[in-house]
Amino acid sequence: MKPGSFARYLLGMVAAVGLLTGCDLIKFHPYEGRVKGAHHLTEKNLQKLSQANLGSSFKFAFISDTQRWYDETNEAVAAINKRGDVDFVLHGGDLTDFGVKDEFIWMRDCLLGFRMPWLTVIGNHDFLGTGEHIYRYIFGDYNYAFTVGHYRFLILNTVALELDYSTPVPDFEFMQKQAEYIDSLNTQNPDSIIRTVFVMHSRPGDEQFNNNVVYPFGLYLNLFPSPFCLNGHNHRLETIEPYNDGIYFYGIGEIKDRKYFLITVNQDSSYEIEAIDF
Amino acid sequence: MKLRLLIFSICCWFAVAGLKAQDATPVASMLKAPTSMRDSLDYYHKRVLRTYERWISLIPNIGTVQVAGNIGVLSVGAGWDYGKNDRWETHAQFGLVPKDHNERAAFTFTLRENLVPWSFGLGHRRWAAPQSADTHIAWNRRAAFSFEPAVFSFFANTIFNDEFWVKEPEKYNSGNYYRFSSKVRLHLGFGSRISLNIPKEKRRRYDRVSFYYELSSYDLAIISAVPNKDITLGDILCLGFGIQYKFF
Repeated sequence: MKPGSFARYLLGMVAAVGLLTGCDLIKFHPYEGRVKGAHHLTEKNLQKLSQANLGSSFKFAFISDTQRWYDETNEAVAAINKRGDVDFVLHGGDLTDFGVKDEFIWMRDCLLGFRMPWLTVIGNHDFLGTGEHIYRYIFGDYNYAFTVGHYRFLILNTVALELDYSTPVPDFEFMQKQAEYIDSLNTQNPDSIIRTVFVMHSRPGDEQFNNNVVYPFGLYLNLFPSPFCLNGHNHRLETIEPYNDGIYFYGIGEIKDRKYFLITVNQDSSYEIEAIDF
Repeated sequence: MKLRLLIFSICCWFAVAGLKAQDATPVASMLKAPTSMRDSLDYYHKRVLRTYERWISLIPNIGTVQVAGNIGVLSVGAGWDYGKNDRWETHAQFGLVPKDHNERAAFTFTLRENLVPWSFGLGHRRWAAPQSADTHIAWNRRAAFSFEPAVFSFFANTIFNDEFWVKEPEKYNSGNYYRFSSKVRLHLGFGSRISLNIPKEKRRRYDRVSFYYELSSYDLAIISAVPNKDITLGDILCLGFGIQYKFF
């Protein structure tokens, strides 16, 4: 070995890496932050959704807890696509089981099979390791809102336990601003927003929810026009009314149960919810 | 103290003399004091000598530089080979995971055990004539190149980042909420290696330089792939490659 040849080998290696990083087999670490392919999907799907220009009657599906059930998720995607009448799909969180980058990519690629726009909420498993940073890059914000017809959808991060209560979860400031926004819309144009749908991973009373604020959360829900809530996390099909005030929480099981919610919104803005087997 | 220094310098002297005299002898065995000298020592000094010899055997004799392979974009390590025909290797590697879309970059540490069951020689080392006395060198080491078709690895990797835990933090109460450790990943790997056995007259720093690739997968990927036909072997495999420098 001549002096300096070590440096030459190293340079050669770096060049080889440059060539090979196009190859999917090259991975730096299970929790690395390098993500190839589609990203910022929340923003892109919201654009697609607004371009679809849905009227006051529409149909949407709700699935949740698809972690480590890729076959079942692909089947759900195929089943929902096949119906042909679903305008968009919501995912209730826990896209991954361990927050590993590979899992985010595999699940993203499953969900990219949807022909209609699809949107996600973050689940507690998605926070593991560096998962929340990958989530933010591939999908987007943890809290966001959008309007379809006369419905306002609020996507809320409710997994307070993962954030050690250091970040406001649920974010009441966000909810308050949304309530004010809806009020201003309805003042200008009465009945612009008739109903609000909250999409969250864990619901009040779950170990992940900040149960110190269960009561205030209920008060905040009442700031919104006739809300109902969709949640995942508990891996069982359930309908509960935790505040006994007419606000229902519809929980869907994990995707392994081979069930999804189909929510039909009628012309008069009433809704029907049914659990469909696939 | 002076006596110990004396003994150590005698050891070193013999070692150097041995290196010069018998180029083909494995260095590790030359670092042992000759029997004639050993016999002249009393019990205490024999014990001191043994202590030195044991510590000498702990000097790593292999350096590695690896790219990718799920232990960092670049990892640098030191290792030891031992066992019959140096079949077994243990390596300690430090790697760097770049920041990219994470919050910060992180260092990782890997402890690796390799098994190299077979080694085949390709071509002849010019200096190792068949009639030479160095029969104690494995025939593949006398070749210009050696090819190791299978290197089986098992390695554990840990990441230095406070977002990870070995044991679930107390906030999860019972401690069996997630039932895994995010900080420690276990990997299984398979690879091959081609080595250049550097001829005596050209040897300066390294006895042997090897190039290797490794295909590996880790615990969480394997348990994701097993129940899902849609997750294929290609999805869970990871390619890494690198250079091994055998110093002695």
